[in-house]
Amino acid sequence: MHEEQLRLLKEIMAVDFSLVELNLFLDTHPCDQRALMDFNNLCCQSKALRRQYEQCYGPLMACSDAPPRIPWGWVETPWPWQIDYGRS
Amino acid sequence: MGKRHICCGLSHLGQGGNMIKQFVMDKEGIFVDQMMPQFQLARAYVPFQAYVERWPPMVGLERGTIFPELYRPYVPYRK
Repeated sequence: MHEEQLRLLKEIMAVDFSLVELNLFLDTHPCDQRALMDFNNLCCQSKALRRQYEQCYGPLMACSDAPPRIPWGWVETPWPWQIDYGRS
Repeated sequence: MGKRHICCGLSHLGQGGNMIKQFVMDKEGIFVDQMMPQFQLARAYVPFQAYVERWPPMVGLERGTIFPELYRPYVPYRK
């Protein structure tokens, strides 16, 4: 996996983790405007990053908006255990 | 505060003889710990979190939380 691909993938993981955290916070604080604003902003960021990643490197999930291709893009992308995340 | 009190309450369970005296029934039929009557048994009390500060996504991913107030890393234990 190329350096830029890994960097983008890690950024998606980081933003998505923040979304999970804010999701949990908002479950009990649904009227917290600042948290909600941050959640919405990160949501847009995540979507944009995913779009950018999938356009360059193929689908992140089997059901994705990545352009269809033959052979199926999903099987062409690396499995999680094939990625060396420790490299930065 | 809540966690500490629950731990105190649990510590009495091992003392057998003192257990009965520790808890008395109040007017509504609820068992109350005499040492701390403001708390009910088997209830967890957690302070309400406020949204103060958030770490950037990459820092949060590395530390396992985006909330500085929840960051409690395990420190390597050495004898």
